[in-house]
Amino acid sequence: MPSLEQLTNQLKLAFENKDYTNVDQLLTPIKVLLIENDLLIPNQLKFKDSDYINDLIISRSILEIGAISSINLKDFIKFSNYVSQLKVFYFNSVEELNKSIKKNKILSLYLLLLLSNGDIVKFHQELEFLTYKIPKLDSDLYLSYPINIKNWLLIGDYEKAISNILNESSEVKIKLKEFNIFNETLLNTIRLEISESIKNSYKSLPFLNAKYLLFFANEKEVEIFAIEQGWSFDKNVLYFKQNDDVVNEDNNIDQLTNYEKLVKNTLNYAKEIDSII
Amino acid sequence: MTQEQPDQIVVDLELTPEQVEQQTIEKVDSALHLIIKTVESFDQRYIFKTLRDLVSIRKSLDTKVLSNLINFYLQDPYKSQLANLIGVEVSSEFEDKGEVLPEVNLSIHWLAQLYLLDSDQLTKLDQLNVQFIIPLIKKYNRRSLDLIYAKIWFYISRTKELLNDLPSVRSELLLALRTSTIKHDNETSGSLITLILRNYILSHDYVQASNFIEKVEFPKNVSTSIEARYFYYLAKINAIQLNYSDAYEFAITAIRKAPQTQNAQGFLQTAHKLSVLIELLTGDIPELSFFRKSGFQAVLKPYQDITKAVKLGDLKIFNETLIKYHDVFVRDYNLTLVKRLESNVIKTGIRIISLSYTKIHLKEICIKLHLDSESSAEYIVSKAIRDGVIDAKINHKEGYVESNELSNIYSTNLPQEQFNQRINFVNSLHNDSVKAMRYPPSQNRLDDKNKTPEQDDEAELLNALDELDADFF
Repeated sequence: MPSLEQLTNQLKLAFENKDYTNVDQLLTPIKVLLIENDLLIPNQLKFKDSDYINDLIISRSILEIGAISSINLKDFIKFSNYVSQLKVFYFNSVEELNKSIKKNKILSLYLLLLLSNGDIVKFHQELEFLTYKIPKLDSDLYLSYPINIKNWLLIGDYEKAISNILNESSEVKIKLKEFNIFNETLLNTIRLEISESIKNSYKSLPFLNAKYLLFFANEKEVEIFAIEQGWSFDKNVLYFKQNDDVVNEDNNIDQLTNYEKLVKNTLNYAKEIDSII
Repeated sequence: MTQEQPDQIVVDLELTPEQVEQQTIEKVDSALHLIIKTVESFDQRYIFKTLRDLVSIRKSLDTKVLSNLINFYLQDPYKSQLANLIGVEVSSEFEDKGEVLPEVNLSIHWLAQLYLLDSDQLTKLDQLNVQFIIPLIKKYNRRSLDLIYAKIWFYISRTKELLNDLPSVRSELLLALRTSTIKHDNETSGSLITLILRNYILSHDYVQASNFIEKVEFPKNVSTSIEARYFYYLAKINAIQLNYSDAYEFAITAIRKAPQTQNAQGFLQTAHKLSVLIELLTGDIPELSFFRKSGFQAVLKPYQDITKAVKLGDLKIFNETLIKYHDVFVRDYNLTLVKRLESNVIKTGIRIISLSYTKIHLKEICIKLHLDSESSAEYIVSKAIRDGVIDAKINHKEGYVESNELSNIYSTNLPQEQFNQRINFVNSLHNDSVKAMRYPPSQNRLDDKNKTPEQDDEAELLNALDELDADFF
């Protein structure tokens, strides 16, 4: 069986050559070796030993390689696992372990992953955690990218969000190409958001305008999208059902249940008063 | 078994230090007598009262008082352990009084904790906690200790917090929670749950905190101060998870349950701050009178300014306020929540515009809200329509927004619902108070007990058992 050192060197070589499938295969035996040496999960009791810390730094870089290659292989579940393993390295009491060039890159990728999955609750929990753990979070080149996108989505400024996502020559994107992996999923998520808004706020919308609003390349795509959404259209104009009638019906039903509610409440009061007297 | 204990009349005369000291010792003495009575009578109320009495002497605790107590009440090995740690002499002039009651023993340890904490000797305090108190807690299993344990755990956790060493105490807390849950020791369980939550929240680990809440069941019949704390943490966690309506309810419950005394002022202030933010995030604007309560004006000033900005719907003022009070929000751990308000500012801006105009060009909206482009404005307005902030339609061709006719705003059930809510609140208050009433044990039962002192330990078991035994004697 080859030693840990040999394997690590092979791993680094494969990673530099962007041979991510190979990296993935190499990682399994390496992780087994790391566990045997008590290095996969930092052991708090050994933190005073400087040799141990140095070894941990190596195992951290191995995990980082694993994280980045799994994202390139689009294996997002594996990526999330690597991130949770890495967090133990990034956030503990040993300063040498906390500092890494790749730390903010990987964390921002993780945030982006949560965002593209639409997992907003988890996103906010992570953000809350990071806000107090990483100084100057908002001005960090990498981390500000997912955070800004989240803010634009929250406000509804989809134009800014999309233009930032599609701009592949911005500073961040050149330095961290992995961001582009999420472009397609993010675009789809945003498109669905926009379509929800459009449905409620327009009576009619020509295909030409819808094309711009939904960031499609041509009107044919709009038509396909409209069919998927079940929208009605005629002569290249989208028509949205006026849900006024529906609302009124809803109100009627509400009214009925309201009467029932009133009766129920009053009966309840009577019961309470009875029990008091 | 009536109140034979002398009333403590606090006289605010000029007292010599010796007299003060003497008085303190007397107070502790009488308090410890109450503890002994608890053990005899199995009535938790006495110990509750003791703990309250002991808090009042917290300020006058010093080495002399402690040395007196340790020497008088404790036995070796506890006596010398504690005395060495605090740095007082062990004197052997007091006679041996036999076995020390664990309740008394732990109370004195608790007083030692208070003394070390107040005199800022944190490392010593930590040593005391880890080396003596935790093993001691594990040693005894008596119901009468429940309330004392709850207190002691609080200070153990607080010490670690002040030493900035939060993770190390977690496993002990979780272990203790397991033990106390098994023993149905509600007070300690409740206290430990809040401590664990606090531990997670202070290290900003909301993922863990919410996992913990899902798994744990908060016990009933816990002191309201602990409950208030628990609800506050729930509010915080729910707010972070964007679950604002629940969070708001929890925050309000926390404020209502909190003791309205001077000591709880800090807690109330923090809870108020949180509740303002949550209310803003749900889209409501707190009333002005909320910020005017005495004792709250100065602390709530940053929050009042933020509220003003949200109310005006002006992004510029909002950002200015955010920068101005940035450090305050960081200190209160509320920064992320405040930042989330940005979208609310824009929403109120749009709402104000739609209320004042029936028809307005997107360009105008863009200028009024300081947005970058017309198409940004279009997206934002359409999202606002979808979120139900305004009721309007966009005409894309002509580029304007037209508000729909207002429906009759008086045809609503809101007052009825409000009324219903209040009635339910009053009803549940009434029911809770009925449940909380105490009925002193009847005279007959007391007589039974006097006749059969041998069954001391089991006396509280069941009334039926009691009578059965009485027949035999």
